[in-house]
Amino acid sequence: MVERLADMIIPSDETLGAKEAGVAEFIDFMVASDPEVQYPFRTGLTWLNAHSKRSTGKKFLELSSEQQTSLLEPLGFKDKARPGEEDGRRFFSLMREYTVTGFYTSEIGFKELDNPALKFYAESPECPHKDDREHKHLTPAKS
Amino acid sequence: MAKQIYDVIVIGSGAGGGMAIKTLCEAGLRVCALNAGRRLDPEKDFRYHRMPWDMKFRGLDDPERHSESYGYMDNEYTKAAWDHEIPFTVAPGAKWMWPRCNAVGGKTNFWGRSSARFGDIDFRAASLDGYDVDWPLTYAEIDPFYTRVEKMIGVASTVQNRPSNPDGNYLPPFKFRCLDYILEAGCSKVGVPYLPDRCAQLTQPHEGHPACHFCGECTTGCDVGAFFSTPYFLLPKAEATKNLELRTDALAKNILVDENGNAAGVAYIDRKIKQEVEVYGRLVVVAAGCVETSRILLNSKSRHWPNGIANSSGQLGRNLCDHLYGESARGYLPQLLGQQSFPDHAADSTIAWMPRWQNLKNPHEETFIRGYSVYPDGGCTEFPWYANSIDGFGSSFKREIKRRYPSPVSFGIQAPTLRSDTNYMDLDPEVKDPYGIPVARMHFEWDENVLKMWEHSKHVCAEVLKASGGELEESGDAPEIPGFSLHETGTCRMGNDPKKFVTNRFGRAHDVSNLYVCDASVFLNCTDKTTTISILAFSLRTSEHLIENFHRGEHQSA
Repeated sequence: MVERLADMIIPSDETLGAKEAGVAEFIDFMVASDPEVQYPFRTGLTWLNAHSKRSTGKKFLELSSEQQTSLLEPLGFKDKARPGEEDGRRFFSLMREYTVTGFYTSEIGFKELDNPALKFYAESPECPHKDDREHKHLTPAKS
Repeated sequence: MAKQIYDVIVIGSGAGGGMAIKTLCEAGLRVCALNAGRRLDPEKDFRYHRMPWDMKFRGLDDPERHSESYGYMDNEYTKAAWDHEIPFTVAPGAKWMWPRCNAVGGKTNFWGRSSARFGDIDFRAASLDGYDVDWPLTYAEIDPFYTRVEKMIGVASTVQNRPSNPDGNYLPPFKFRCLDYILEAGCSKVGVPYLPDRCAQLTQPHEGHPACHFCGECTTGCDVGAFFSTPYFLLPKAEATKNLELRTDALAKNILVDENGNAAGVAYIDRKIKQEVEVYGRLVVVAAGCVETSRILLNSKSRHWPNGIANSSGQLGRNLCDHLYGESARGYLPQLLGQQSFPDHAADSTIAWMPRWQNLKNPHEETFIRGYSVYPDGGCTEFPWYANSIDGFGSSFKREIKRRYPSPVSFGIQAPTLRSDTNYMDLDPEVKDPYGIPVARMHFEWDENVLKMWEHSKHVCAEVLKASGGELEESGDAPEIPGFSLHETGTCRMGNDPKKFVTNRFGRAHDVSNLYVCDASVFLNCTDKTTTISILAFSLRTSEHLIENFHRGEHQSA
């Protein structure tokens, strides 16, 4: 279930996602090392399955991906939040935090951002747009 | 066997101790240096360019250890370098954290490298605004020492012609990043300075040390020594004289005294064999780092010094000051959304600063006295910290994280507390460390003046962000707790009156003529500037004063 959630939070689309970056394994490892978060993770996953059964009669992993998405949207998007699902939102936020951490500390996550950290440079890197110091006329980068 | 006596025992090998060790050894004195921890191996103890995925916990460290780790520099890459064995206590109602690097070189292994000189606006602050007392020296007197230190360590900056921040001799500055030019324009609209910081990072090779390679991981240790640290810059010179004996894992316990109450040596714990050892010297220099220095002196009780050595004034451990740190504002620059990633992290944050601009023309312009500085930061950092503030999940979420990557900015305040009777350290009457030595007990709270600065900075930084075309996401809610900055000063303040000050204007103990102090504990307060370069300059001055006293015959060689 953790694997599916991580995959939904940072999907594999035009670029690689949580699945390829092994985020679920990272989360398993971090949670196993940290007694303080084991309880919120366990109760959160239980809540989500119970919520899924209540809403659809099926466990979360038995749902189609469209059904899974519509179940998660009220938990993950502020403007879709529904009353009575506070526990679920709290769990989803925890899940999202761990997914983000696992993904962007992986080699694939570094590539996703074109992360320049820990590279070597011959000179102190300088802004390439010195003719437009306020950066008001930049060409938007390709998406 | 005859008792071996050194000319000088130096306790500590950080900025203050390292400078004393080098200066004294080069003057031909035989020095025994005691350091509480071991010597580091950059390959094992520094980050050494390891990527997060090379680490068991991705650099985040074992969650089980989090409650023990102190501050942002004590992390998975460098954890073996920070002391977790010697506890301290915090008085009821007070707050304090105390990151201590007891390895050889101390905190210079990982320091922040911002290196502004103190000026007369700092030394004469009391004359200007009537609070506390002036420093017992003028800028003209310390200026040449700063110049020599800058030549030794290499500081990158520009001449800025602001009397509140005296200029020095600089290597070429770090170049501005996109976010710097944008914020510089915003600052000029608001009327706040935005300038290259004084950064002790080598933008070109300097005095036999290689230039920086701009990897941006300075605070986890530099494996080539491209910024000042004692082990790279000072100890090799001291060792070359063959006048140095460096004893590691030697935790200083107390100063030994002779029959007249003068310093005769140091008792220390050899942590490798867990036994007490004595070492003897004609003079003792204490440079263990502000609070630890006072702990050692207060623990040096004898018939002559029932309240701790050199404490006839009762001021030992008193007058503790610190920098309030905190994020005054955080947001992002929409101009940079979706732009290509850029190595913004090349100097590990200290590229630019907003040096004190308050109370310059008139010491009472503001509702607070003195002033603070701000360090702006942002851009493409190693980890996208802003990600959790983005709404949603899925492809849109992932795209937004990427789009925002070059754009975040934040403003970190550095604001000094004022001297106060209620901010101090003493010895805990009950708690002892594993070697039976009474531990430091901290009494500290942010004062009203510094909290006014904090509020002021929140308004100004939000205004700067707005004037820069940025979006404000958060105005700082609470500052970090005291001790976080690692810039504590005071506890052995220098001054001319032996009744009010622990050390004289040269850092020599008023009560004990062969005891000197060479760290930030002699400072009267912490000013809006960082401490390391001033520790180096003052330690150089004190060490040379000590050598002159030798030449004058006040001290005899062993």
